[in-house]
Amino acid sequence: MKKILFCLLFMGFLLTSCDEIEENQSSKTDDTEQQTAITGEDILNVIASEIKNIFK
Amino acid sequence: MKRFFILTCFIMMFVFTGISTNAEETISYPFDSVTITSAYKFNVEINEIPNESSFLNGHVEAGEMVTIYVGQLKYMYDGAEVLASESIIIVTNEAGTDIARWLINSYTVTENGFNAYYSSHITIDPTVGVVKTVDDNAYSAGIIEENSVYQFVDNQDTAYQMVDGSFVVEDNLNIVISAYEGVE
Repeated sequence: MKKILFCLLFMGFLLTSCDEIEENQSSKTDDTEQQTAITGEDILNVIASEIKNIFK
Repeated sequence: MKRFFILTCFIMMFVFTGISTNAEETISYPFDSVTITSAYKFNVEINEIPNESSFLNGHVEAGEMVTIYVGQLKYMYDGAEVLASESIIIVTNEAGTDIARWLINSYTVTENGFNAYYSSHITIDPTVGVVKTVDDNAYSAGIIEENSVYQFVDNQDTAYQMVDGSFVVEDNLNIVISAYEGVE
């Protein structure tokens, strides 16, 4: 009985770890997508056009 | 002994889960928006074709008027100011093409005004913020103000005097530019 309980606990531990790894990987993928969506050049473009528009 | 081992497994499971959750929470960005707080502009006339080493070379003709825009920026993160007194220079030729859009590198208060130098090696990386890299080929440009008279200086230290009557300033601006959507 104790052996079964131990096996179940160990399996639970492994599954929890796997879930965490998967979550981290999907989180990193989302981050990359967001990071590549807007570049620093895009931000500079917007800032520059806003400043130039002030004087139009 | 077995009970102790099972208990240890339980504890380790919670510890690992806790560490992993904390690692996710530490992901942060230094700024999520930029606010333009004021801006000014003035014109300079390029009397001769700039030196080949000048970043203006190839972008302006002799006799062309170039507009210098300077914007004061404030970087915000979660509604709080993280970087103040930053600024950007935009050098635009008569065709409206931006020759330079560089962030400030140094600022010095002088007896009658200030010197501000901007450099191409300072950029914005949305994942990091303002990035200052080492680049031997970086260009720089400066603004020299003395007794309310402005000069534009290129990377060859050639100074171009402000055209009289061209200076315009806009204070008390609050133009917010979102840099990106934060990670939830």
